[in-house]
Amino acid sequence: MEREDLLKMHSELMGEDVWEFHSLEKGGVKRSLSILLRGRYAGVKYPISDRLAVLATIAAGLLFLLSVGSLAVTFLRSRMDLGIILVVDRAVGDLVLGLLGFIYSAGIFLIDNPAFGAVLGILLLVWLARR
Amino acid sequence: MNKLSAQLVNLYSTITAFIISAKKHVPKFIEGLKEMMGRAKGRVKEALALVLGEAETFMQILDDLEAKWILLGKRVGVAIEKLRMGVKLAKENVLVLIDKLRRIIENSSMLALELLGRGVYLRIKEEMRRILKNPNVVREDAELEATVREAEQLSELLQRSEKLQNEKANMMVE
Repeated sequence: MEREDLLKMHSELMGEDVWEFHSLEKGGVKRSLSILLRGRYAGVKYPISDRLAVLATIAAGLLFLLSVGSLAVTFLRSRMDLGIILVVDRAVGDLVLGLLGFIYSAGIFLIDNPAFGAVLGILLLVWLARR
Repeated sequence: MNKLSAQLVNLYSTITAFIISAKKHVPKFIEGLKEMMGRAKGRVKEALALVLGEAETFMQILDDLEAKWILLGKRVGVAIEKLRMGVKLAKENVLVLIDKLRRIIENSSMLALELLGRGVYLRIKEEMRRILKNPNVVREDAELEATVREAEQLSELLQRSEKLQNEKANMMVE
């Protein structure tokens, strides 16, 4: 490079501020979906852990909606004959039991499934290779 | 520490080492040039004036770089903390910062080679390598310089007091 080019580059580097992605910060859903489906966003490649994190966030949201729904249903079913304290008590008990049962059955199903075991093994191997 | 933030810190400390070593070697170079200019005549003096002008341009560039270095330090700290906390788009910001730091290092070292010449450039690079290997070198050097300065001052004081004593003795004899 010529001296003038170098000096010009220097003044540019000293003048410009670091770009902070302010314009992109609004696109949260777009970014998450892009990371989940394609594994890259804004020219940056994301590892499998980030994709799984997006998936886990979606699963957590769905679980939250389910739990709120079950609470509401329990409340509506038994509003006629019981006091509010008993209703809430029963709803929370049902919710906890339902969640535990769901997790238990999901775990049993996944452990019994050979395809899931294979996927888990491959993921473990990939993780070990990337370390 | 994350891989990305380690890279960021590495690049930032490279810039720091560059600034420190250039601040050490370039003023020495300029002093030497000025001494030579005092002795030289004619065309040689003109050529030396050109070289001196370029060296002083590089000193201005170094001042710019030092001012930017402080701002970049803030940015680097914030980026690493955001990455640690998992803030949205922290990774992209860190990558942009890494790119910027890399460009700054490349450009300023090429400017050093262009404006100061191969000898001073190589000296700066060697000093950089030394500092990056052991960052305590900077502090030790400063301490050594301070002790040398103190010793010089003490020796001057000793000479002065010896002179005064001699004068007193002469006065007594007279």
